[in-house]
Amino acid sequence: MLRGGVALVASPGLLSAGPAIHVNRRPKLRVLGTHVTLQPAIRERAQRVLDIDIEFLPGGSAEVLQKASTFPESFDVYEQWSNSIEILWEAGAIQPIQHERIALWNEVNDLCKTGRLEAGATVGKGAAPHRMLYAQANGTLSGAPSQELSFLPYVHNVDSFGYDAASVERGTPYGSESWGWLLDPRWRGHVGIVNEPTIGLFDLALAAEARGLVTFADIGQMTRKEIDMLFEVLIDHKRRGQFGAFWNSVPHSVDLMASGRICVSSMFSPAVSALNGQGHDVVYAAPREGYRAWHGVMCLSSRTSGHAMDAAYRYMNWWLSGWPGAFVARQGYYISNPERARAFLSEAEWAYWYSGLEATSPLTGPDGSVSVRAGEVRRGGSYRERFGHVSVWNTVMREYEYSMRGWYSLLTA
Amino acid sequence: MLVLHLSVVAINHLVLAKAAESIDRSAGRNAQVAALLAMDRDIETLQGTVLSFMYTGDQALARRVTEGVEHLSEALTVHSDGAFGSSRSGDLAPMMDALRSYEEGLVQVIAQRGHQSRVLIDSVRPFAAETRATLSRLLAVADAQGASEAVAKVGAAIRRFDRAEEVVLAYQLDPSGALVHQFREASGEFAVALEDLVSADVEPIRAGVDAWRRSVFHVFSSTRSYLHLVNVVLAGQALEFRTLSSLWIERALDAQAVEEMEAQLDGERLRELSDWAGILTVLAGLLAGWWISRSVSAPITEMSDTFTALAAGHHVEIAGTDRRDELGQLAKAAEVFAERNRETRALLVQADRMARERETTNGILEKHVAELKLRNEDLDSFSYSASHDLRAPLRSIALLAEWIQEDAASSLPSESVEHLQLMVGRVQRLDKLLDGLLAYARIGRAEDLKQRFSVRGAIDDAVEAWGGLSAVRVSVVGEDVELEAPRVAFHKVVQNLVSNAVAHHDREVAHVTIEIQVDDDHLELRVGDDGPGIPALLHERVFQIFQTGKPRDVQEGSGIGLAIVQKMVYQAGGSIELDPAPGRGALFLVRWPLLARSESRLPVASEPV
Repeated sequence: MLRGGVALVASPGLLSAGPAIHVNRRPKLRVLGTHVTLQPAIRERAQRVLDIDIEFLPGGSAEVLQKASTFPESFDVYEQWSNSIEILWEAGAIQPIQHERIALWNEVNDLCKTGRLEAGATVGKGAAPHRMLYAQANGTLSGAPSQELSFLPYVHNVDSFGYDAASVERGTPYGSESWGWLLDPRWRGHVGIVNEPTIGLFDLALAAEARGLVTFADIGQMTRKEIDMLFEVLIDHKRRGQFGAFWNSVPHSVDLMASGRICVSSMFSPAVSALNGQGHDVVYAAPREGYRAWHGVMCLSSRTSGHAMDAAYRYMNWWLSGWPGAFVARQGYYISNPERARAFLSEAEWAYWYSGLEATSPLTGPDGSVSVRAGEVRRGGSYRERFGHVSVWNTVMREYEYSMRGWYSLLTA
Repeated sequence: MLVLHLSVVAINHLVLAKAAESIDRSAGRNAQVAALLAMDRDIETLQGTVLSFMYTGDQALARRVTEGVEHLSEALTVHSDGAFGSSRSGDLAPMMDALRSYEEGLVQVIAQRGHQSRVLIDSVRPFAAETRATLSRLLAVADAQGASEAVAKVGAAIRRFDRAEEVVLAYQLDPSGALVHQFREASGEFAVALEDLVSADVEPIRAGVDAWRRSVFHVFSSTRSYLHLVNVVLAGQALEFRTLSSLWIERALDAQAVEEMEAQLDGERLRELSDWAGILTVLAGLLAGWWISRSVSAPITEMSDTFTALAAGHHVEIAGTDRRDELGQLAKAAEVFAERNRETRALLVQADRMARERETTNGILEKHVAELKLRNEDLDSFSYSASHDLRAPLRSIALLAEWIQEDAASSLPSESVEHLQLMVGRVQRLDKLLDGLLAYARIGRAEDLKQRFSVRGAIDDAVEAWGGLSAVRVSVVGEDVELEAPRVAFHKVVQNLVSNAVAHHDREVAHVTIEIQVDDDHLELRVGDDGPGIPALLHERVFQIFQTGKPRDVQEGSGIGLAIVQKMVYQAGGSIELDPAPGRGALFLVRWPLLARSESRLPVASEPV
């Protein structure tokens, strides 16, 4: 994913993929998800450790969500974001996970259970994972603990915007760095926005709010009026040429920033790493308004049963066993039970990625190349500090469909 | 100059080529801008059609948008890979990527929209129809039976179903996450309400409720999906396409402006270059003219001067012989000419020297001849004087000796008498010598007029006049000719030669043969005898004066006869030589110039005279 990027655009071939036919005794697991976690190294390791066959079915976010919600028989395990849970749940595409079958459930930290890592930290608005973690007897999802989980929490991170320090004066984390830069007239024509309403709309809402243009009662659950007001502001900015591009994939965002078409943009961390690797001094901001967080969810298809279900549970348990957590940590992602991953990380890695300390030696990424130079400090600080600054979670709001109309108006304005 | 001229031509070609290229590029770019603007409009129209399709699900609209995208893709391909070069097609590649993503999204939109319609038509609506029919029938039955509780339960189920159906309808009209929640609640309540119904007729409905709910969620899911695809994915790709298009157009117009400016600058630069090239061509022409005059005309002039100088006979250094052209050949010719000139001059110098030498020689000769003549004359004069003047004392001595002898012969001892006789003899010999010398000296001195005479007659006359005919038989052979010559000299020559033959003959009668021969300009007399011949040793001196073949005591002779013959023959312009042929006898060859030869030839008298 770091190199491949999140393809937000769907691939048509996957829609016609039917259920696999099992001919071997050895169980086969079909995993539908995005490139963020469906990485070949993970698959190879899991196959070897678990002694099962695993088929990865990667795709763009919208595509895999549509596929999963419509054709639950096409997969066993679904890996995506917490904001997609309600759709899947309501569509009956996923079944509850029995948390007694999750061996390390007790080691899973509070972020997904309470929305915060430590007491006193602000809880982000929107589809925070804890708000939909437990399946209730009435068929709804909520934060009230039960024996059934709607998803297995695992990979998560905070996102913000990146800026090219060659063009934009370097700000201070949680100080001068602000989402408001996205609507700052200084960068008119050179602002990039991710073309995804469940993500980009919050970046823009945070920006508008930061600049005092719009206020929201609940930024994670906007009303139609608020949505209308927001798009009124955004369309006005768009018509004044504020936005240079709405990017459709991580590589697209890298190209736009590298070519100079944009210098401030909502961004995913792999794009920042890629640009830094290319020699561009791109800073991944720690906005004072707080991050936009996302949480990975691992779900069980409503149609999965028997050996496939057993394999799915083994696979989910393996994800919390340490190695996968360490693997994604080297790409900047966190895992829900970090201590297990720590066993697979060097002290320097743990210090940089989780503790927010200076890297005491150069750190290599999953591909073996140096991704962090000695002396660097992760912007925004430690795991706890960063997740202590979550403003909103990626969310499919109630007015998701309505917001898409506004989004369309914004794009075509 | 040719190079410069060609440069000017090349520059002009370059200017034209650049202009043509610029026009081509400009035309290409304009075509591309026009094409992109058209594509921009097309994709906007397409978006509208997609929205219409999304709301209506009209398959005709689906075909129209599919064809529209294909048309756009073809147009973009033409302008990406077409006649505008690879460098520019690269700029259009991101547009092609956007269009491709758009196309992929569109396929999904059509699929999802189709799926939604199918689910509604195939599952949701039949279930709704069946449910309504069943529940209506149950309600009618209950109502007819007056079972108010049953009526109330069926009525509640119908209301809940209606509520759920309204939500589905509302979602179709105005999709919203809230409606999804409402449907979940309403459908759940409907399912609960169904549980209260006891009729067996309800079983199929109860059994189909879950499938119906799932179908409705499929409808929601598909709707969300195509809403996302249309409002986000397609709109995003269309935006990117149009943004790239406008950026490209902006760059193209900028490039056009820059190119026009550059073309103008290029034109000015090339015009300047052309002007300079023209000036340089003229300068080069002048230079070339100077060079040609220097390298061609100058050598020709030089060569002309060289030839003039050579003709004048001057020594000239000839340059340019190493040239490989006509001038080189001329130079070589000049060199040959100069060589001939040198040779001629050397010959002239030699001739001049020879002429001068000849003049000198002639002078010397003439002087010598004059001196010789003078000396000869002196000698002749002396010889004549001596012989003439000596004769008187000599006669006196002879006379005195005779007188002594006559007077004192008896008284004188015999030895003295003998001495006196010897003295008389010597005096006589001296007298003869003096006679001979006088005769020799007289030759040429006395007037000997040239006469015309017959050679044979002259020989006969000479032999007869000589008088010693008894001792000799003279035969004259050969054709007689007439000769114009001093007759006395001729006589003397014949007489002396016959006389010489007789004098040295060792037999009683000598036979002398005189053969007359004539060639073109000489009379040749071959005078041979049958005597003992002349010893080879004497051949050299035979014509010297006072030379005798034998001591005078043995053979008395003046020793001057042949000297006189030679002198006379020489004086006549002829020659005499002794035939050195071995054998007996002597043969003298006399060549006498024929001063005037008679036309008529006399008959040859071969008879001995």
